Amino acid sequence: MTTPRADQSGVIRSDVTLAALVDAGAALLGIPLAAAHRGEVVVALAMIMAQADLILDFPLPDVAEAAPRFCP
Amino acid sequence: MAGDDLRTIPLHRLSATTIAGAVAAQRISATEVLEDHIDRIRALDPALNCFTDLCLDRARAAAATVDARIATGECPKLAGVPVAVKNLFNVSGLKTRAGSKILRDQPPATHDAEALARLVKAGAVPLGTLNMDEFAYGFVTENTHDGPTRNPHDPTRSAGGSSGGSAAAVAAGLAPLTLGSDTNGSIRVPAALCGVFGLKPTYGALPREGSFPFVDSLDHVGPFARSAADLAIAFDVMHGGAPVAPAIADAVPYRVAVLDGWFSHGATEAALEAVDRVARALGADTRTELPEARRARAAAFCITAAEGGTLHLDRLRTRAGDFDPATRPRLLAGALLPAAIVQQAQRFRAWFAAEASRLFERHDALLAPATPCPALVLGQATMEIAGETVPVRPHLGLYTQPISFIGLPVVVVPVHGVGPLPLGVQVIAAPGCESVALAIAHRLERDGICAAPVVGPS
Repeated sequence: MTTPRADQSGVIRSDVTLAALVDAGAALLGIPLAAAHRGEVVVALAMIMAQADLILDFPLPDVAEAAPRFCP
Repeated sequence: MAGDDLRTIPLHRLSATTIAGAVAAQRISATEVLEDHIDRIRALDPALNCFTDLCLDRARAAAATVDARIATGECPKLAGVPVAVKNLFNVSGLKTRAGSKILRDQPPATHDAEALARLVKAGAVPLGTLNMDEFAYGFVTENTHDGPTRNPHDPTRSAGGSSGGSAAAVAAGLAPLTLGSDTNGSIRVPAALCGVFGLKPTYGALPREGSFPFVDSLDHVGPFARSAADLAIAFDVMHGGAPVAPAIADAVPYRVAVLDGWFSHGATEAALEAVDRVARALGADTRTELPEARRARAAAFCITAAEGGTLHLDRLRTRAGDFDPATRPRLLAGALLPAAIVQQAQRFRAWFAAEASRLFERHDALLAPATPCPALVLGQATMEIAGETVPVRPHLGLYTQPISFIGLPVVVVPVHGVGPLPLGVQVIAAPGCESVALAIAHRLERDGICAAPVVGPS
């Protein structure tokens, strides 16, 4: 992914943003990310974030509760 | 089946139900059934690569025990039925790999997974463990450590995944019954691509104890077989509740609708024809929509990455280089995902489940393709969905993810003849209504719409 994209709030998300999250997150969680793995993680994160946008864009009422497990 | 037929039809072509009946009636022995399947595995598995470990000494002892039980008048429901399990289920004496290199450092399991233990108690004979995508994170069973499982219908193609070994083994006649797991479609996708029946039960319906987890809130275990009746009996044995098998032949008129919208987005003509063929046979002329299924798929996608990444965090810290390169980046990215995304996905789940339950006020079952296309060529990295080029591994479950996201029971029925390769259709029922999906699958089988013939030489 090389094209910067604007999310609904107008924030520009780019490879730079994602790479910064990968670096900071890996440091925070104590993951010694190998240089050879860094690029593929940025690509994977971009793919997940593209899906995340679909959820973050969806308006839910404040009273909507989480369902961390499905209960029939 | 008459006793004479048992001598003319190779035993590896019989259904689990037929084997159990014949063994219980002492027309054949569990040992004969086992040895025929061992011969089949030795002949075909070097090329197909379904099995990662065999436990043949144990299998022979188990078959002898079954024959002894029959001789004393016992009549176990799965007498002499060979069974094999995805290698994330504990099998006593074997290492539980979960498709990984890392877990091979662990000692062998000391007990069977609960689902397998219940099958064995009912007379099933454990053969060994089956190939999968590493840590069940994939739809192709192209495992870097163990090699790819090949599709019995075309060995140049993928068996689907992540329970690819489980589906291919059933299709090739290496076992009449196998177990797999399904987090986002890992039973339904390979069942469809290998042309066999698969059951993803209601979330929580079958025991997961002794199986290696992936995403706690989405993991299901379930069986593969070559008939709906075999799925039903396996489900009953593992479930232990009110049995569904006796009722699947009842002539109940079900209200069935075809899911539209997202569930036709990007599907090939063959995948849509498979659904139409099933719908016509069931008289299902209603189309309906499960609102926001695309977002449900997205939510499952994010939850999977985050929960999976968190589960493997310690291993990602210490042994990242030992992961399958196809799995590692997605788990690492998932571990880094902001919490707000996961929480919003969980909040969306409650909303979506409520929408689905409204559909089941009007319908008993819903139909959808299992995959957008037939089995892809091994090594194929990308595919086209609605004009967009996307990676294969995360995207074969487009139509399965929204359904497992809310735990609904699904039987995948195999449809042949819509192209050179089989395809599968999801028969989706309301929570706890496995009997409905199984009865519909049985009806389609009886009417010649769906079948799972053994593939390969006799």
